[in-house]
Amino acid sequence: MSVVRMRSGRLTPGGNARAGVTRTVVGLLAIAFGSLGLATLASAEGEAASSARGEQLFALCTQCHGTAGEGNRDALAPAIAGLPAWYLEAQLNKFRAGIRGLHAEDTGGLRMYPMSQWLRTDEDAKAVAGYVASLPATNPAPALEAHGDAGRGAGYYAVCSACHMPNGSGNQGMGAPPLVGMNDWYLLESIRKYKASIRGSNPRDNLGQAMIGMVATLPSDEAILDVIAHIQSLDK
Amino acid sequence: MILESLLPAASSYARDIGFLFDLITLLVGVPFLIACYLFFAFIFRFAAKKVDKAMYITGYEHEYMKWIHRAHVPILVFDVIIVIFAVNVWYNVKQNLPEAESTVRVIAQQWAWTFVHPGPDNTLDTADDITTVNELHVAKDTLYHYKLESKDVLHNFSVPVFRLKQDAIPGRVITGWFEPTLAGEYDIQCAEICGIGHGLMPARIHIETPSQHAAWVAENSPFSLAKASAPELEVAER
Ligand SMILES: [Cu+2]
Repeated sequence: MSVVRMRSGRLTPGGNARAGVTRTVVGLLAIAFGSLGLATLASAEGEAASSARGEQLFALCTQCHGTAGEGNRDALAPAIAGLPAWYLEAQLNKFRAGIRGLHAEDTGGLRMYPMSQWLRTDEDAKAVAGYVASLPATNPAPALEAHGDAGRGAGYYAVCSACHMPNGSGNQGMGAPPLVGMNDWYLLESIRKYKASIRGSNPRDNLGQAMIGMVATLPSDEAILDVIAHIQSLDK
Repeated sequence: MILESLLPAASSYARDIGFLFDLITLLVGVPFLIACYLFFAFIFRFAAKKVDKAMYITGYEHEYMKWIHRAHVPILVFDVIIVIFAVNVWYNVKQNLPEAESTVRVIAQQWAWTFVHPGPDNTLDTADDITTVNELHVAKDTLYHYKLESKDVLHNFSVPVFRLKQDAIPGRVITGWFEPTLAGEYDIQCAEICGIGHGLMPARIHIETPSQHAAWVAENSPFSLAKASAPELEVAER
């Protein structure tokens, strides 16, 4: 429904798409069209330059997200290493445009919004997203003290699985990021924010608004913990 | 005069602080220029090749040392002058708290400002409060109290056109006041290093005429509000 409006739709093979694009038909088509161009060499060069630029820009992210992109709960910064480039780029662009992170109660978002302003061009956003995607996933250990019931959570997860896939691997076509490998505390925070319309309520955030609708199926904090327990039980 | 030629004065006490700024600039600046002149004049006038060997002064000869001692007199006098004028202004701006006509809450965090406006009932902490991010709306010629808080580390609520600066300290609610006297849109900045995003937490103050402000309040009270106004930072403009 809203995929068209996501900036991830603009990925090209010359950028940092290697992580996610090839898995989808869209990606394959893009590569097919891209390879028709004469610039195979130039695009390889561009990719190297973009990766170097991404690494350079990533120094800013490390302040909160850590040198390996492993995240830091005290800084309200989730693990980001190894997330798909299309998802990272889409979120960065939402922050840059003030579509995400400008709600008065979104303390973490209000940190990310100004930092995203360092990315002055779409190319920079793409470069840093590509670099972060190329980092090995850190698979953070559970950090929440409260634990839910994975069995009950499996029931709630049926709704999530439509976009995020039964194995939690995500689905670019639906704009749904992988859930396995995300911090449990970040999942909890995100779902709570969606429930309170602190995240996703911007009229230009179509996927966020969809999420606000979806999390309504989780009636309580207990249910949220249950579904997180289920996600944690999925294979990484 | 000097300061106001660089930056508009938009609060009731801005000119008092501008006067102090000018006073200090002149008291320090004029002797500084004289000192510079003498420094370079002596260097060129008494260059080694023009005169005999330099004289050694032990520091005990009153004859020579008086030129140093006498320069201390204006320093002390100027200090006293500055203190006399400053105490008055400091008392008026920081120690004195005139009665408020309205109160806003200012919340600093890494790296944004959240402003809570009292809404149509002009009372904070009621359901009709208007919360904005990086955007403060006030009415001209209205005396405001601000309640300044920080969610995390030290910040500083700085409104250059008001000549106002106040540290925000986590765990404390600091009350101060201002009265806008000039309509317009101006900068708010954080004036205390607060982390890597410190330079990226600018906000804007909108000083409106009372009728404009009433219209803004009516339009934005939560009962008619589509939340999360999203002013993009200056740096985002390409
Ligand atoms: Cu600050």
